[in-house]
Amino acid sequence: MLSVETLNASYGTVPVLEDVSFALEPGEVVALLGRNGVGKTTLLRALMGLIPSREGKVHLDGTSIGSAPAHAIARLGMALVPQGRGILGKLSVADNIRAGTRAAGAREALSIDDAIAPFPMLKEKLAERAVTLSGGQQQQLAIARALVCRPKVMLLDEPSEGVQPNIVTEIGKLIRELSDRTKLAVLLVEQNIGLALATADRCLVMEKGRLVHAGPADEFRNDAVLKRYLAL
Amino acid sequence: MPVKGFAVYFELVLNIATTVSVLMLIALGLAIVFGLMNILNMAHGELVTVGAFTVSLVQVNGGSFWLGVVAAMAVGAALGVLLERGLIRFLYDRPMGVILVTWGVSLIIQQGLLLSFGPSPQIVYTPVEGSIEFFDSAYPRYRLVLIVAAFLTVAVTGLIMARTRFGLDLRTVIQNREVAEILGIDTRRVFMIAFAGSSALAALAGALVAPMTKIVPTMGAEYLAPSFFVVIVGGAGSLAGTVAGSTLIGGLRTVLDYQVPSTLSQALVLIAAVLVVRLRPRGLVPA
Repeated sequence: MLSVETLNASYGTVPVLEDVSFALEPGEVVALLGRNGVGKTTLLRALMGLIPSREGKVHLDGTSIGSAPAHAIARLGMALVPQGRGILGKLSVADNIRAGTRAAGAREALSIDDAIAPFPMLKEKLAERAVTLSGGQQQQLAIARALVCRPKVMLLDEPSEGVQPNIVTEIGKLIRELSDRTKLAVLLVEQNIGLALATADRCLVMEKGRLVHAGPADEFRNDAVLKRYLAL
Repeated sequence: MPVKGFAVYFELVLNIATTVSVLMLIALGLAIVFGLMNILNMAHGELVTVGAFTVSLVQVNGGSFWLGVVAAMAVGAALGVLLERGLIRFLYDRPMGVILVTWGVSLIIQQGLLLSFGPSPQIVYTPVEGSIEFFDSAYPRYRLVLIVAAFLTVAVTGLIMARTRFGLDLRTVIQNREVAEILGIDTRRVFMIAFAGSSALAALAGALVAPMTKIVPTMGAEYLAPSFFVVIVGGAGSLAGTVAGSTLIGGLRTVLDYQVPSTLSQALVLIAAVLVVRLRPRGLVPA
């Protein structure tokens, strides 16, 4: 569904991603692990087209995304739920989701009701300004907004950040269930190792802008492995 | 006597409404480019001038006033696209560059019009002749047309912002350009259309005020400063603020003009604007 070959990216002259290669299959959830500042968020941003100076081959469902701008990549079926959620606080909850339908491209967008169906809490808040939502509700809104266009690949950056634990568990279950049901491929950046392992099929480990290890999620349930790659 | 007194007040109200309408029309486009998109377009006044000149040109060539208004909007929009595509899009993250470049453009337009049309005023005939009688005093009919047109323009712009697909795209881009891109919105296209739209609004303003003002190449420059006051006092980024700002600045100006010399009233209005911004830094109706 998503194939990345020798992706390089830099901020000015400083390289931030070096020869990153991996692939995501439909219906697969992959967790991207690594310490702070190793380039996980940068990788998601580069895939989304938000870092202009990038090189390498990235194919989304067979189509090369080359040097396309972010909105074109979104229309091809890549959805990013950014760190900090990127909620448009001054717009209503419904308008946030409506704005999300712009990424539909050739696909047919879901109705707003269908998009928030997994999040009953949002239903009563549709007309309210998004800034009035709690952290967990904003995260749910960000995910609903990403899903409204039925993307093929979803990039999730720290969905558990600033969200209460019971909602974190719910979000994890939802990602798993969605991926199984709709064959959505998910790349998950997550500091909460419990959530990452409960959700993912595989894990990738990043160090200093490179992918240094890949393995099934079960491998990381071992303290020695965690210590070696993540210093946990 | 009481009837006469009432007539004076009625005329005052109409005069206020006229001044407010003119300000509102001219500030509306600025409210979008400056208030919402944060572009300090120093050539906004010249787009107003171009609107007035276009109407004059259409009338000279036998077209009607209203055809001229439509032509003015088309010319304004085309100039807007040219400005945005040719210059401003390269400078979105360099605000000082935008000020200098648009100032340069304003000089080029002013001098270009001066060279082509000369310094003597152009003529635009009002489409609605005559006056209307109110309690023994006469009021030009065209001014009433202008007031209605101004409020209609603001209402339509508000509806486009609040209800249309493009309006939502623009509100999204203004709040967070990167998120808008992630959501699949072509932000460069949205900025271009918004800039063209606000340029068309400026030209529309120029076309509508043309029958009641002296049409010279420098006419727009005189509107630039008051329009910025309106947007800042009203609250950058809010259309309701533009209406409130125009009402305060225009209303005060008209009332003071009855009592004190024009230069003093200008100064007093400026002081009032400074006070409002001191007390309400985000404007009368913040976004």
